Amino acid sequence: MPGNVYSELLDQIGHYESRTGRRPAKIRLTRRDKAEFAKLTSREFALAGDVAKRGVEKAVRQIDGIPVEWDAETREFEACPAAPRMNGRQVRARVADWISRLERLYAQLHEWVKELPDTTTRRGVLEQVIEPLMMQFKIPPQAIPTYTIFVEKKWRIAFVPSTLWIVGANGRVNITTNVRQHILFDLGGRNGSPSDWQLVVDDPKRLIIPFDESAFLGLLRERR
Amino acid sequence: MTSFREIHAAYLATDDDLLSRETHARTPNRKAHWVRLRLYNDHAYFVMLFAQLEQHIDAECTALIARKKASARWTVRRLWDSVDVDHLNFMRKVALLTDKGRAIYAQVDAYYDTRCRIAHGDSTLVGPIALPVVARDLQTIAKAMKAR
Repeated sequence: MPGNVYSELLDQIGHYESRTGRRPAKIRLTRRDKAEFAKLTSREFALAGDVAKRGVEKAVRQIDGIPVEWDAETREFEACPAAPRMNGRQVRARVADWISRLERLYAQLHEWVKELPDTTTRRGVLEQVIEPLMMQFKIPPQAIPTYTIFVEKKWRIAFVPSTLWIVGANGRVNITTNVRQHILFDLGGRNGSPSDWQLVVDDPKRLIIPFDESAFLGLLRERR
Repeated sequence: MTSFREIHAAYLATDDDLLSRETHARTPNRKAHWVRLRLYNDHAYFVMLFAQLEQHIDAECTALIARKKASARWTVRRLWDSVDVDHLNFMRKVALLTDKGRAIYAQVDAYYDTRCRIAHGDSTLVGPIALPVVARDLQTIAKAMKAR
């Protein structure tokens, strides 16, 4: 690319992104940068015509989608503000919500199971895996409910909650049958919305399917 | 995304094995050990799946830029002539294929952020990944990222 102030800035934005993994929140440019922008031709900079008509400050309010502030002492990239930090109360509330969502899942399972012959269920508890946010706010692990279904006293399906904080989902539950293990993710349950439990399947076209009664009955039919 | 399905299948097999070891661990320390290994497994496969998306976006951008550079109209060609796909960073390539204001751009940005954190050694800040969910998202993103 030709070496001008615009292409130089794009390169610097790229380097900033590679180094930090984030885009800058704002770019501060100097008077010298402003003078350099005023010299750019339309071949070098698409807004050159607009710059000639309205001046650099009015024409160039953003570069590569990042807001620009002019007449700074030195050229600077302002870091993105960190994501709003959670506090201990929010972490506690999230764990409590996780337990409520699990209870609702088990209540639904109970509805599906109660009509089936030769089936019994057992509720249990498990000490929660300590997750980084809980460690950060010194929140002790809670008793997390588990749910096990026995069919004809021989076949077992156990629902054991795993992680709550997980990229792409709002909690993971491991399901163990006599034959194999399955994974259930909640893709809902945020900001008061209902849970959206999805079962991971060995089907490369679908990857996950809604965990409804038919998916559940499929697990019950898994026998060695 | 030629190896996408195989990578995902390999993930399911390895996650299943690690989960089985975690389930059968007899002490909390052993359990924690397998939980930790499962986390690294999530991260390794996430980076591999994301690389498939990067490769797809590279190919689409190359096709788009080549098409624009071949335009008979200089007014179309003039800006594209100075664009070299090898000098564009990843999110600028994404911006060539989708509007920056769209939710899909923000979604790619968030996953790219996760990929950079892992690739730069900040694995502990990322936590576990719902890989099959993310894989489905990456497939949807790839379908939307076309040179057209």
